[in-house]
This record gives sequence, C-alpha cells and structure tokens, in this order.
Amino acid sequence: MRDLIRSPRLRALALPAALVAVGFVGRYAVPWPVLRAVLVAPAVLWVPGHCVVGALGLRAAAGRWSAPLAVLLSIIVTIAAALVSYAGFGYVPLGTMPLWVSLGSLLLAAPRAPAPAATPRETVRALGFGTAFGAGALAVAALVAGLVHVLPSQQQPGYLAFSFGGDFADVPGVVRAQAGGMLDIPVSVTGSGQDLSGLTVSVARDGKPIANTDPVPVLIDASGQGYAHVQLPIATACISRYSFTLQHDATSLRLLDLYVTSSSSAGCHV
Amino acid sequence: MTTTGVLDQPATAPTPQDPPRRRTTARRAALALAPLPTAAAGAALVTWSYSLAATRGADETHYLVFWLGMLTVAVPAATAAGARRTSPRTRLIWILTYAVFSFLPKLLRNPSQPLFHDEIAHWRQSANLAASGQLFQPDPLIGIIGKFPGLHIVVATISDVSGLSVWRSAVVLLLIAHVTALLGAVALGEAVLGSLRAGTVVALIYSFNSSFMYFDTQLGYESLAIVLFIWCLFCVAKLQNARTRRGRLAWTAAAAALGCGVVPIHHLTSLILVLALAVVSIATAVRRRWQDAPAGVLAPTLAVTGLVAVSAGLWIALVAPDTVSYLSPYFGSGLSQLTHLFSGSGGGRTLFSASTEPSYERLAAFASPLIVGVLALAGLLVLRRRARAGRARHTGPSSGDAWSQHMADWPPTRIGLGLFGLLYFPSVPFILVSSGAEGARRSWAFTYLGLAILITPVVLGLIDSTGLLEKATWLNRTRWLDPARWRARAGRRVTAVAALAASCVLLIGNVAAGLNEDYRFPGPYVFGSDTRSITPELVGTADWFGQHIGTNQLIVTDRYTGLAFVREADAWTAAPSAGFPTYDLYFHDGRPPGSLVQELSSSHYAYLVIDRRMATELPAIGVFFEPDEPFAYTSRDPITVGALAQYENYPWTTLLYQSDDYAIYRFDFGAIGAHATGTGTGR
Repeated sequence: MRDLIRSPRLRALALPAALVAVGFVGRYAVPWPVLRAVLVAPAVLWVPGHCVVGALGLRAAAGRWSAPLAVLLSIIVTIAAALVSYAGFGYVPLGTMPLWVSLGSLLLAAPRAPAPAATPRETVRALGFGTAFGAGALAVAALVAGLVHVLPSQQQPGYLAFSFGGDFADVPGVVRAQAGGMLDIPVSVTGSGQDLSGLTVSVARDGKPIANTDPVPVLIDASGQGYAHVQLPIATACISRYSFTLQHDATSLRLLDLYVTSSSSAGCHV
Repeated sequence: MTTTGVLDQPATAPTPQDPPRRRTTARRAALALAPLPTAAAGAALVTWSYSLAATRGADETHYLVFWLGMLTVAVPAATAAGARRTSPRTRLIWILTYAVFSFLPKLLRNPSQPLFHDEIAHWRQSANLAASGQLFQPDPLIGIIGKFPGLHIVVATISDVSGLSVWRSAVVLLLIAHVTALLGAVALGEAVLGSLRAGTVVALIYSFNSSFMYFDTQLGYESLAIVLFIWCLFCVAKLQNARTRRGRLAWTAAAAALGCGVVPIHHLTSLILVLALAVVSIATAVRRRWQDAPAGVLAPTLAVTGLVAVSAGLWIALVAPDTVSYLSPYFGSGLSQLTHLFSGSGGGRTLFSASTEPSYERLAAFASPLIVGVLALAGLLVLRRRARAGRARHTGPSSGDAWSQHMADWPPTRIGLGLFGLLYFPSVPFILVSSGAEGARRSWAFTYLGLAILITPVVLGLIDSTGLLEKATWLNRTRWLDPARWRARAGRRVTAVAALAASCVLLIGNVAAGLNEDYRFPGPYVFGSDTRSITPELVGTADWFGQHIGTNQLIVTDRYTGLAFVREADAWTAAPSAGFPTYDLYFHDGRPPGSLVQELSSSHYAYLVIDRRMATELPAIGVFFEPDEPFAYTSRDPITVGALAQYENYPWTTLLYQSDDYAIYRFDFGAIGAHATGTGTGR
C-alpha cells in the first residue's frame, strides 16, 4: 500500500485528479458563477493539457513553460472533443463535456519524465510569493474598478421615442378593418433625459385632421414611460394613411403611420 | 558589433567589475513585488485617461495621460528585460505584469459588453453556441466565422461550465490568451536565441506590433489563434534543439497539435502559420544540405509543416470553401490598388487623414518602420557576416567546436523566422491603399514575431557594447573622466537609454498606426464609426425592437445600426452586395427594382431601419454598408433626405417607431403597388 501511495504514477495523478474532483463539485454544487468558474477553471483549462504534456514526456523538457503549454493543449483538447461530439451526435454538451474530457485525460497522466520535484521550502516560498503577488494584483484590480466608478464618465444625450404598442407594434403592414368601426391603437412614448409631461397624440387621415377627434394626452406609468390609446374611426377607403403625431403644445415631435384598408375590392391592389 | 556571448551569458553572471551584492530576503521580496505599485500607478493613469477622453472631447490631454500610464509599466519592464544582471524571476514577473497590464486599455474600452464590429459577431456566435450546442451556425455579420468555431467552442464551454455570462467568459479567455501570447514570445525567443534575457526582449519587441494592445485583445478568432501560432513555433524551435529522437518526436507531436489546433479557429492564422513553417523548413533544408543542421531535424520540421498545411487545406476544402472567396478580395484589391498607386493612376489614401491623434503619435508611426528597418538591416548584416565567417571556419582546417558553437547560435528557426519577419517590409506600402491597409496592419501581428527574433540580438548587442562613447573622441581628451570603466558604464547607459527611447517610439507609433481614436478611447458620438455609433438612443431602439417585435428577425439597415440590433435584439442584418443591393433602398429615391423586392420578400426580410443622419453626414470609416458598395469612400453624401423620407409615404412601409434619429418600418410587399389616398402615388 505504501509503495502504491509513493508510486510516481499515483503522485503524478494526485493533483490533476483532485482538480477534476473540485471541478465536478464546482459544476454541480456551487451556484455562484464566479466561485464556480474558479473551481472548474483548472479542471477545464489545465488538467487535459497537463496530462497530454505528461503523456508526451515533455514536462521536464518544457520546464517553466509546461504550464502555459498545458493551458493551450487543454484548449485544443476541448475544441477537438467538441468537434468529435458534434460529428458523432450533432450536438455539443458544453456544460458537462469538458469535465468528462478532463476526467478521461487522467488516463494519460503517466509520469514518463517527471519534472524535478521542488523541496518543501521552495514550494512554500513559491506559494507565499504567489499569494502575496496575487493579493497585490487583486488590489490593483480593485483600484481600477474603484477609479472607473469614481471618475467622471461620458454624459450621454437624451432621446425621445414614439412607437406603436401592444399588437400594433408588430403590425404586419396594411391593416384590414371594417368601415365605420373603431380601432383602438395603443402607442407608447419612451425617453431618456426627457420630460414626458404635456405630450399629446393627434391623428390625421390622409393628411387631414379627423373630425370630432381631440388630441389624446400621454399618460405616464410607474416606470416613467408614456402611453396612450387612440380611438380610430375607420372610413371607407381603398387605403387610408393614418398619421399619429406626438406633440408638445403645437410642436410636432414624432410621427407614426398606419395604413388601413376597409375595402376588399380587387382595384385596391392590397 | 557582436552578438554571440551576449545572448548566452547567464542572466545572473557576475562580472569582474561588479562585486557580488548581498541582498536580504526582504529586499528581494520587495524588489520582486515592485511591479505591483508600478502597475497600480500606471493603471490609475490609464483609467484617468479614459475618463478624460470621455468627458473632454477634442482635448489631447488624454493621450498624454494614457502614454504616461502605459510607459510607467512598459519602461521598467523593458529595463528589466534588457538588463544584463537581472534574475530570471524578476524578468518573468515584469513581463507577466506587462502582459496583464497591456490588456487593460482594451478591457477599459468596453468592459461590460462587446463593442468592436468583429467582437459583436463572435460574441453572437458564441452566445448562439452556448444556447444551442450547435456548431457551424451562420452568423449575421461575418458569414465565414461560422465555419471556424474554435474560439466560440472555448468561450461557450467556459460560459456553460462556469455559469458566467458569455461576455465575461470571453474576457477571461482573452486575458489568458493575451498573457500566454507574450509568454510564448518569451519562450520562443529563449528557445531560438538561447537566453531568457533575449526571450523577454523578443517578447517586448513583439508586443510593440500594432495589433497587440487593441486588435488581438478583442473577441476575435485571431486573438486565440495567434497564441497557438506562437507556441507552435516554440515547439518547432524546441524540436530543433532536442538532442534525442524521443525528444524530437514529443516536440513534433506538440507542434503538430498546436499547429493543427489553429485550423478550426482562424483561416488567416492557419495560412500564415503554414507560410512561417515553410520558411523555417526551407531554412532547415538549406542548412541540412550544407550539413549545418543536425541530422533528424529536417524530417520532423517538414512533418509539422505538412500536417498543418494539409489540415488547413482539408478544412478549407471540406468545411469552409467560402474562405477563398472571402480572403481573395483583400489580397487582390490591395495589390491592384497598390499597382495603380505606383503607376500614378491614383487610388491611394492619405495616412492619418481626419485623424485626431496628436502629432507625436503620427511622427512615431512614421518613425517605427524606419527604426525596425535599420535594426533589421543590421540583423541581416550580422547574419551575413556570421554566415561568411561560419562557412570559412567550416571549410577551413580548424572546423569543429567553433563551428558547432556557430550552429548553436544560428539555428534554422532563427534564420527562418528572421526571414519570415522580413515580410513586414513588403507589407508596409499596402498601408497606402484602402483595400490593403487593414490586411497589412493585421499581418504585422505575425511578422513582428520574426522581426523581433531578427533584431533582438542587434538590440542586445547595442546595449552591451560601449561603442557609442568609446568612439567619442572628446571624451578621451577629458583626462579627469579617463577611467575606461566609467566610459564603459556610461556607454552602456547611453545605448540603454537610446534603446528605451526607441522602444517607446515603436510602442506609441505602432499603436497609433493600428487603430484610430474612435476604437481606442471612449468619447462623443461619431457617425459611421463602429465603436462610437452606439448611443443610448440606438440601444433603446434595438431594445424596443427586441422586446416588441422579437429576436431573430431579418432586417435591412446600415452597418452601424445593424451592430446594435445584432447585439441587443439578436437581429439578422442583410449583407448587401452587388447581387443583393439592399443599399439601393437608401441610395435611390423611388420604388426599388422588382428583383430586389422579390428577393427581400422571398427571404422574409420584414423590417427597414433608417438612421436619418445618413442623409446629412458621411461615415467616419468611409462606408455606409460594406466596402464594395457604390460610392464607398466618397467625399459627397450619395444619400438624400428625400430618399430616406420617402418611406413615410408608401403603404408598403409602415412607420412603427421613430426616435430622434432612427425610424423602423415594416415591409408589406403585398402593398407595393397600392395607392394611399392623399400620399400621391404608391410608386
């Protein structure tokens, strides 16, 4: 048993296997994306390549470059696995496949040419330095994030938008309606940096005001956006153009069009 | 000037003039952590420069603050890289710090969502893959990227496994790729030139290429592919250095894996990698023919080249045959325009026309090719002299160890990559023509690696030589300064300062030549700019479309409005061309041709989105839709107010939405011949 534990093969397998296990735990048991990313990243972006580097016997020859080489080979393994999966099944299970690939790659983790082991003191020193440097790097990142938040940013100009609402937002084109009937047309007004109070919507048919219709005031909902419902009396016509004008006092601000036909005669070409 | 010995000198080798220094552990630790406060200061300045750019408009102060921030880290990193007595750890910590730091400008440019044109296309592709698990889906902006899914697979994998958003996953991957690229350049330089010092200088020179800071940090397939490109060449260099057959085989396998890994990621990088490997193979074959290269090196080098070439060829032939038609116009048109330019027929472009970049950036941009040209020439002269000396030794009576040393100094990868780097110079004239400019700039990301290999020995030779002051005769007359040691040290300092100054010029000049202010800095709205066209109004318009009309809708619009609609509303924008001239809906006043209507109708294009400023402003990058459109790069706006306003009068175009500058119309092609009362004709 002792010999087994001390065998180079098992020792070489220990770290990648542990990282794969942590990756699975992260994937299936950790709901927070950032923490999950930290836990699964080594399993996905290092273990497969590390095992390939070991299988090729390059760990010692690559020296300090074996870690970045492992990352890149992991990326290639991931791409290759995805292509094979797609070729075989027409689908790539991206959420789970990389971890299973990582698990499978452990089979390659034979230490054909193990790197010279660092002494415990060297390992502790390297870990200590890495921790200190990592903490410092995080502090720099926090400084940048803080500065981005604190420093003045660009002032964007406001805008005013006028559109159909409800089903009429997706009106398919010319609307068929019964002559003499009424259409209830919802419109909405959205704006950024704009005062929406005092806005009204007026309607014209074929360029002329419709008799007995007053401008409809724009109401403002809880989210600060404007809306109105316009009752549209339909006249008999091949095609009429109804123009909806958003106004403030007498000033026209925005325009919408709706084409309505109340005739199905062949001469209307609709 | 000699370069041998400089490269092979151990990084910590004491010299007779310098007694060994004793440093306490605490001092060493403090020195090793010194990059952190430096990076903090630099990052603060760069962040401030972005705030200045966003708030002060045309003021040039942000450039100055930006470069102060960048040089705060770049200069110490270059000093650590080029210094003779620096520990490997210090060199690596500085280069690592510089690598991470140089990612900051692009990260600050758009930290929370994609912004550059290609970025939006790749983000959309990755998001679609993450959602569906389906490869090779078409892309609304750049059709060809669907056939090269490598990047999207990795981004979508990180996103799906971790739960991070697609954009955050992309940022994580890009940071890893950016840092690994620079480390790869260090590794390659070390493998080819024989010392970590040379490797870090190679990496720094490589990082001065115009794509490194902004283009190859965007979410684009080249950003990942170029990392594999560099590491593939590293593996080739290592296979050529390997002394055992088993070692060569292992490195061959790694090089082939990395090289073939490029193929499903990016077409252009694959082809350039084949070219670089071919040049290295030829150099190896020539050296082998002269019996200069060790036996057993040529076959694996050729094998890697062949495998990558066959993989690229098969992929293009079987999976992405459109690649040829996609790439060929860039080469063909660029060459044609360049021929016209040199034959006096015109067709050129004015460099930095309408540029808002400060004059020192422009000067540095013009000086950069000259500086690398002089250094490359020196590198070639050294190569020629060494080749002659080597051949003389080889053919002379006392060949042997000296020749072996010569071979170790000049491995085929060094010669091959140096020659590959020389391709930079023929590409420079293409910057003068509109069709070739982008391709030329993009090629520098690759050729600069070879250039760095070629000129690093020259740079280190200069730094280590005392020549500049030794030759200053007036110094020899000043007896009170007589000591040779002083002159040697001062000479080195002068050359080191000159090298640092040249590095700064290269960094500033190449970044300036790479991308204009609109890409680099935030700022006010610019019509017809990929990065400054997206305003809250446009985002609001696209949001309205996505919420009320729905996603995956086919729309006709201009390039800049389309970017926001793809990003915010998952829309599919029409790709106009001579065969599908949707731009005619904007360029011509009147009813569109029947063939266009037929195609729009049968393809289910249902919406037309118009930016009314098209009738009053010219686009900053010269095109409304795509480079082959009629009137591209014209100085007169071909679009009239009437051409855009006509759709308010047609029964077949219903105006659904109108904001300050944008209007959304619904097509109803069934009503194209209809006549509405009071609107004149249906035309």
